[in-house]
Amino acid sequence: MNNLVIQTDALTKRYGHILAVDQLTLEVPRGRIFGLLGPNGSGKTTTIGMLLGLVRPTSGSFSLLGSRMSHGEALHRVGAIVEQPYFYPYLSGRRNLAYFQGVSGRGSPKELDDLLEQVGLADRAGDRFQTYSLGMKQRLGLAYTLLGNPELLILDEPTNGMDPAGMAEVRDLIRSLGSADRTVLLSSHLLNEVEQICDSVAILSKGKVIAQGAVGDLLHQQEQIRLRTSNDAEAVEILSALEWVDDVRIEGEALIVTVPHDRTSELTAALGKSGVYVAEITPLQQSLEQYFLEVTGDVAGELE
Amino acid sequence: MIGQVLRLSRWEWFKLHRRRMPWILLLIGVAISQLIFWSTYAFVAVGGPAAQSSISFDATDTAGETVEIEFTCADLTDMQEGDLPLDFERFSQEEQQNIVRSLQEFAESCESVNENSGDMREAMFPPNSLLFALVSSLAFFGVILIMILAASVPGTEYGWGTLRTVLVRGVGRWQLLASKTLVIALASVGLSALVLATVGIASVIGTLTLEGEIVGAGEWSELAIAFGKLIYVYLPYVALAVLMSVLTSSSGMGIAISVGYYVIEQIVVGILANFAWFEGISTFVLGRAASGWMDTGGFSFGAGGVGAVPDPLPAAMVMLAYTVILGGLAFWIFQRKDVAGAKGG
Repeated sequence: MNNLVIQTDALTKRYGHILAVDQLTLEVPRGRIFGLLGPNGSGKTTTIGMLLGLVRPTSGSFSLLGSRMSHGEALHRVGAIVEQPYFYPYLSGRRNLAYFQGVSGRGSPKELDDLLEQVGLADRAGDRFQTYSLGMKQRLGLAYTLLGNPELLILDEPTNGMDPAGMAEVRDLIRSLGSADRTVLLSSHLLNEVEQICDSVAILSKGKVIAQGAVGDLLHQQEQIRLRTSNDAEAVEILSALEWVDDVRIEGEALIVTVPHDRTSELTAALGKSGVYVAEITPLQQSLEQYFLEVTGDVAGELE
Repeated sequence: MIGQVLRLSRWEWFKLHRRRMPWILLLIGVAISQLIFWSTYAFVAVGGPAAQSSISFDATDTAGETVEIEFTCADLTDMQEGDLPLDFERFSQEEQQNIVRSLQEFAESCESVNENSGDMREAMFPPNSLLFALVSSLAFFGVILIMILAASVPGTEYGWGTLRTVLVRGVGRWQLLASKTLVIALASVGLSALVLATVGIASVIGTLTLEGEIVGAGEWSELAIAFGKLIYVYLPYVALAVLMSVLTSSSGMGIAISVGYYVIEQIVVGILANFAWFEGISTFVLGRAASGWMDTGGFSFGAGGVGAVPDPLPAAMVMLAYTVILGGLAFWIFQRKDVAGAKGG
């Protein structure tokens, strides 16, 4: 069995002069919660649209659950919400789900009851969709994506419009959904949400993937420590000469050193050997937000 | 594939019959047909054209006074039955001859008027009353209502953003549009049949009041054929409305363009029918072809029926070509068009 649920190869979409997705190569492994991050207009929704057969690629190819391009059958194993959950305003939440279950040709009335219960909408299931709050619409959207117990969930901004308690609840739910049998692709502009929920992440900017990997690996690529020493100028000279130190800079009254955390003791030893003593050492854990701004800023700079 | 279309059609119906729009269209159809029926009924009840068509002239009596004489066609019928509404003795022999001469000339024109009155009276009784409703209401207003329905069914999917929600369930695009078209066709048949049924009830009530036959002149088979022809007329207009809503990704635009085309075409055809050169190309105009198709059996179709209309067979072929081309374009565009943007439009 292929371990990748989504694989794209030089996937490109052009709208006239606008290059929305540019030679995108993305790999989403099975059984993980995968985050898709990017600023507005970075091509996240267009990419999802192509994967779901809503948008025709200009060039390139992709496979979804092992099915290449033409993938009507594969879509039966996918639950997805793109941008916002849109349903029929005059139908109740339950009837909306019944309709979408019906067009798929699979499922039972009991499944509807269970899903409505699971997302906390059982009490309002008989009310018309147009009377729902945004948070309730999102919950119905989640129930919709779970129809037919899909292998792959594609969720675009699933907590949009929810109150903090609702957001926490839905994040817990998403975490519980990602398992060995099910993969979740989460597109979100909330970086802390992605950091909290996702195992892996791909960062898009201007239609290209600029970073991709496990969240921990990406953040560890940029491990930093703050140092206070007896002689900062000499410390910079010594540390810059070490090949496993990526970067050293003076920030206020301290040094910021980019170095793997497991080599901290070697670093203090090197300084001590040269007569520079460390007064204080603090590991700095970079957040995904800092990393995101750093990498998307770099690309923006390059392209401009 | 066919099984999938039928399954999707079932769910399209699940949605459609819960919407207000088809019921409002039905209500409008019933209201228009009832209005036309009861207006005509009222006209017939007070004597019809025979009571309205009249002659008026002055005559001088033996006392030298000028008398204004007014007769309707109905008065002439009464006279033939021996009921004289005028005192002839007060006029001289010569003046009496003048009056009789004038009445004889008027009587000739009354023959066709009386014939029309008889036709109108017969049109109040089933099955002619239904045939009358089919031609007077459904063949014009019915087509507009069906186009509104046809543009609305796919068009609202764009407006509500639900097209994307349906397609990501793995529903095939052409199967989805085919199921929508099938449901539109079935709803059109149902809507037309219900409108005719209400006219049928009205005409039974009218018949009892007019002391006529419950089942009047005319053949039920003729009604069935006309109904079948009407449904065939709907097809190219349904294809046009579906194409416009798919092309513009909007039910409002789809309705406006297709209904606008229909109304403007009726007006333009009404004007161009006066020109000889138009006759050569008129077969290829949709409204004109529909008129030629419906004209068999003595029924005209809107303003498209002005002047000589095309023969039924070429007219049917032209309508089929419109249906295939417009419908084919609608399916081709629906299959290929990106569902992008905020609501998938």
